[in-house]
Formats: sequence, structure tokens, C-alpha cells
Amino acid sequence: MEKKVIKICGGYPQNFEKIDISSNPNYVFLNDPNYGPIKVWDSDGNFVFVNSFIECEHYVSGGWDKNPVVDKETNLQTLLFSGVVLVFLFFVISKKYSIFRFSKND
Amino acid sequence: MIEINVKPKYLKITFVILLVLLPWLTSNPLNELNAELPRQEDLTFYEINPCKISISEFIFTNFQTSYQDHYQFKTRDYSSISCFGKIAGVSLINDVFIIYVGTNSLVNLVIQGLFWIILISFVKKRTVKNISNNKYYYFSLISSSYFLTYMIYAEKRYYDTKFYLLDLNNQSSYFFIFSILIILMKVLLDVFLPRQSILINYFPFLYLFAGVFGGYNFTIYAFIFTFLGAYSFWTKNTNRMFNKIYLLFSSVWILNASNRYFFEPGKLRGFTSSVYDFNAVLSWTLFLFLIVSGLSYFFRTNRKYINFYSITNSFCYTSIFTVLLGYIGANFPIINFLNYFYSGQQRFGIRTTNPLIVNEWGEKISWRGYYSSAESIGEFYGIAIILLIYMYFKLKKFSILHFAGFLSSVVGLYFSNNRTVFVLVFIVFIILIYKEYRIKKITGVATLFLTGLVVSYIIGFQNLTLPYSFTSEIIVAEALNYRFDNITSSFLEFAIRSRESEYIFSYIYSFIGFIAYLLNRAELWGIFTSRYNPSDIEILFGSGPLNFGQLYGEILIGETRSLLLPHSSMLSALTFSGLLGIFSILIFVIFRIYKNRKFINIQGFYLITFIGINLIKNDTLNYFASFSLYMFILFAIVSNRNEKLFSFERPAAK
Repeated sequence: MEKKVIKICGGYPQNFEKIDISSNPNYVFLNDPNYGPIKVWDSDGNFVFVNSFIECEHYVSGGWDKNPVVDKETNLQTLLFSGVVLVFLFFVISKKYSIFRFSKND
Repeated sequence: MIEINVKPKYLKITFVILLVLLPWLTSNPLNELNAELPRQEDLTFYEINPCKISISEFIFTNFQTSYQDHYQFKTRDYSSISCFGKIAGVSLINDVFIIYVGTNSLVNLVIQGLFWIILISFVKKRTVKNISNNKYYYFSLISSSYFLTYMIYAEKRYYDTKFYLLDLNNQSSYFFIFSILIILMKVLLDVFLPRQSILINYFPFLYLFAGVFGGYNFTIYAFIFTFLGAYSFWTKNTNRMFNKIYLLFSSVWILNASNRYFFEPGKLRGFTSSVYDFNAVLSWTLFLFLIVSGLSYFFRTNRKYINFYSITNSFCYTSIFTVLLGYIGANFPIINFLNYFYSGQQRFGIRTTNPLIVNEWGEKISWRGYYSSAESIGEFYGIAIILLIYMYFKLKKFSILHFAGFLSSVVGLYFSNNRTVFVLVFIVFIILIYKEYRIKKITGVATLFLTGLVVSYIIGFQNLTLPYSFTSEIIVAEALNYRFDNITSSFLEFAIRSRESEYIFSYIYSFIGFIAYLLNRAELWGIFTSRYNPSDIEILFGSGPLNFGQLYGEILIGETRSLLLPHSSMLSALTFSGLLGIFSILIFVIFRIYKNRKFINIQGFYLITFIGINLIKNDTLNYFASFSLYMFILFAIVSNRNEKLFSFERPAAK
């Protein structure tokens, strides 16, 4: 989870202490002027802007994530890239080791 | 070893069919939506359901959209990979439903690249010197792929709107693009290099397959010729004098590029920069260097395989297909879409279904058909006709292909309404008849008179009756007309000043004005004068190759009816390389012609003149197809014995 928090919210600030926010229903997140707002999404596609590391960490720990559309696209791009590389390697290897041969009778 | 009992040709045909069909059949079987027909009063279905219906489903359900002219299919390159081949949206513009088909720039690279590579692979191999087994090959492969990736970096603003959710501020994205480019280039070169000696006679096909990747500002030919350019450079197989002069110009262009102006490449996509700034000027300077070096290396390596019989055949096939596909595409929106995607056109084919259309004054309106520019394709048909006339006079016979090629070129030229080409072709035809049949003097004079009459008719009799004092002033008058709020470009200022003080330049400029009037270029060259704002260094060296950013961004002028390019390759060259650049090119070409004058016969001379005259009044320099074809024809004529070249001998069997 820590890795995911760092990936989405940025590095943990020095002397960061995790507060148990869920036990305090009246807790109000304060904006951190040095922290650029970040958008996080839940599994239903709802999103919120978080304005401090504490808020971001809280949401991400609770299951909120990066934009699922970006994630999906990144996965498709990786798939495309891998596909191109694998097909290329397959042809290079098959050519080098003469795996395929066209029948001369045809 | 696994033995495959299928002929490679059939396997390739299967791949081509799959590449044409599969991308558009991406339907989701779980999807229960029915493809609705867009209606004027309600387009919400495709707003609510973008990327749910594949184009094939859409066409099968609403078949009339494939042939009715109030539908138009367009690609939308900024779409998700999962949206490829699906309807990404519909809009209604001027009573035409624009149906946006989702395409993705990364997927385009793979599909279009593979499609064109397989097409090239149908050409038979004829091995020349194998260059793919040395260190320079790999060095050139890596450096040219890296360079193309750098071109994307240099035009980030353009590509930001083309790559869907690919962060171009992130280095890993460039690694990703570089990897695909290098793989594609490697496969392409494996197919291209063993066939290059045959492909040299296929140059006219560049008009049929423009080869621009969807969403990119380069063509598949850039892969080949930047590679060959890099290879010739690393192997020191280039012209040192050219390199030195180019280095001097490059230094000035790059150091001078301190501002930033944007330019939408539009129909010039693949051969013009979308931005004028340091990185773009650097990348396009390198690009032109590599392309010219690559083309030159390619011509030199395969010089002895140049065969005008094969080239004329290529002209015939291209003429036939451009006319046919242009006409079919204009009448069938879906064919227009497929033409665009699979030939890599810079812009969609024309949608005007009637190629014979005239305006309210009864004047013929140019019909560009399949190609991006009516003027350029008109010149192409003109060259095809000239070559076929040469061939007929030499061989005294036509095959069915030649007859069909001649017919389609004449029809295409008429559709394109390029009157200068009409005049030039007519003059060539008359001169050849005169020479061939040794016509008597009196008949010769009558023919000359008739030619003059036809030329005057094409130019327009009334245009020849206007006084020189009026026609010679027309460019400046048009320039002043387009001036916005007294913002005067340095070039216009110079023109006004020299007119008042009667320098030698004023006489030259007056004569250019007269020519512009005759060629119907007065307004366009006037607009150029109004825009062109060079500094002292830029008038000498230009502002950088293939870059209109500064010309179109620096000076605000009055509203024009469309983009309106300079319509003169000379003016484009002046913008790019300044007066010194133009003189250097002219001196180089004239020197080469003079040096090889013994080899050049009358046919070669006509073709050079044809190209030279057209360069004054066209935008050819800005289209890769025309640029490389003209360079090829000039090279072929100047560096080969013309008697042999124009003997139209069939190429020897293998």
C-alpha cells in the first residue's frame, strides 16, 4: 500500500504521522498550499480532488486510485508494445534458426 | 523445421485482407446496442455511447451512409486503443453528418506500417549490394529511429493532440515510441533494400500512396530515406560541398530560431513543420538533410536500373487509380475513408461528386479527386501525358495500359483544371509533331499561329488586353489590400519603397507582377508579400527548411478565404533558404545541366523546362511526392544518356 501511496500522492513528508481519521467523524482535512491538488477515483468512477498529502494518503489507503481510464489505456499501450516486440522477436528467431520453410512444391 | 504448404504470395494476400478488414470489425459481442442512424434532430445516441458501435456494424445497419453524400467518415486519431474502428462521435456540420471513427496513433503506426510493408513485399527481389550486414547499417538504423523520435519531441504540441493518454513529458513514452519505430524501420528495410533496384522505377506511386501515418507528421518514406541519408553520411558517401554549404545555412537557421510560431500542417502533413522554434528548426533542418542525402544516395546506387518504360507504366497505373479512386471516393464516403487510411493521404479525397463542375461565371472549378492538391496532381498527369507522347513517337504503338493511362491522364488533367500544364503539354505535343513529321515552313507558321491562339485562349484574351502599367502593379495592390491595420511587412515596405524610387528591383517586381497576373497568382503572391517579413539575415539565408510557422505567424494580415499557400515553390524556397539558398540551388542545377549537356536531348530538356516553369507557380516543394519525383526526374535526365533513357526499352528480364 505504501508504494501505491507514493506513486499516487508523492513521497511521504518528513515526520509524517498517520492519524486515525476514521475514528473521528468530524475530522476536517486542511488544504496544504504547497501540495498541488490530485484527482483520485473509486471503483464506480466517482472522483474527488485531494489537497494535502494526509487527505490523499487517507483516500488511497481506503481503496481510491488513479484514473482507471489512464490505467486501462496504459495497460493497452503496454500490451501493444509487448505484442509488437514479441512478434518481431518471433520472426527474428524463426528466421535465424529457419523454423519455417515454404514448400517448394507450391 | 516446419514446412508451410502455402505460396508466400497467398499468405501475403491473406495478411493484406486481414489488415483491411479486422481493424473495423472490433465489435463487442456482449453489446446489445443497435447502431442508430444519425438524425438531424437527435445525435445523442453517439454522445451517450461513444466507442460502442464498430464502423462495420454501423455500415451494415445503415448501409445508405456508405454512398449518400451527406455522410462523411473521418478518423479521430486522439482515441483510445479500445476505441479503434468504432464510432467515436457524430456531428452535423452544414447538413453533413461527420462520423468520427476512432483511430489511435500508436495502432495506426503498426497497421498502416504493416500494410505498406506487405504491399512493397509483392515486388520481386533483385539483389544489389547488400548493406544490411555491417556496423553502419545498425548505426544508421538506430540514429534514424532516434531522429524520428526526436521529431516527435520537437513538435510536442502537435503530437499532444494526437497521442491519447501518452504523456509526452515522460521519457519512457519516447522510449516506447522509439522501440516501435526501430522495429518498424528494421522490418521495412529488410523488405525494401533487396527490392530497391526495381522500386526506383515506382516513384510515381508516391502519388497513390502518400504514406503519411495517421496522427503523425512524417511518412513511411521518411523511414527509408532518413535511414539511407544517415547511412550515406556515416559511410562518407555524400557530396562534401553540399554538406559544407548546408552546414553554413543550418547554423544560421538554428541560431536565428528564437521565437515560436505555430502552423497547422493540414494538407502538407508529412513534409512541413507544425511549429517554428529552436527544436523544430533543428529537427527539420536535419530531416531535409537526411532526406536529400538519402534520395541522392538511392538514385546514385540504382542509377543503372532507371528505366523510363517501367516509369511510364508506373505513371499509367497511378493515373488510372488516382482518377478512379478519386471519383469512387467522392461518391462513396466509406471508400473515401478507406482511401485516406490505407494510402496515407495528407487530406481526405474531394467530396464534390461532379468533376465537371463550373462556377456561376461558367469557369471550370478545379477538382483534385484523390490527391491533396489539384495543381500538383495536374502536373503529374501532365508529365504522364508527355512521357506517353514521347513513347508513342518512339515505339509507334500503345498497349492497353498505355492507352488507359493516357486517357485517364487527359481526363485527370481536365478535371484538375491546371491550365499552365495544358499549355505546356500542348506546346510539347506541337513541337514533337513538327519535329517528327518535318512539317513544311508554311504549315509550321500556321501551327505556331494556332498554338499562340490556343495559349491566348487558355490564358484568356481579355487578360492580354489590359495595360502593363496595371498588371505590373497588381501584386503590390493586392498586398496593400490584405494589409491589416497598417501593419506592414518588411518585404511589402521594400516593394513600396523600390517602386517609388525606381530601383532595378522595381522593374523586376513589375515584370513578376505581370507574370503573376497571367498565371492567376496576383492575389496569392500579394498575400505572400503582405506576410513575408524577413530580417536582413533571413532575406539572405531564410528561416529554415519546410517551415511556414514564421511566415504565417509573425505578421497579422487581413482575413483570407482559406489558408492559401504562396503557390510558388520559388517563394517557399525564398522563405526557407533566402536568396542565397535559391541562387545556390539554381547554380547547382544549371551547372549539372551544363556539365552533362551532351547527354541531354530535346525530350530531357522539355521535361526540365516543364518542371522549372511549374516550380514558379506551384507549391510542389511542400509535398513529398512531387518533391522527390521532380528530384528523381532531374537526376535521371541529368545523369543518364537521354537517347537511351527515352528509347523506352523494356527492362531486361531477370
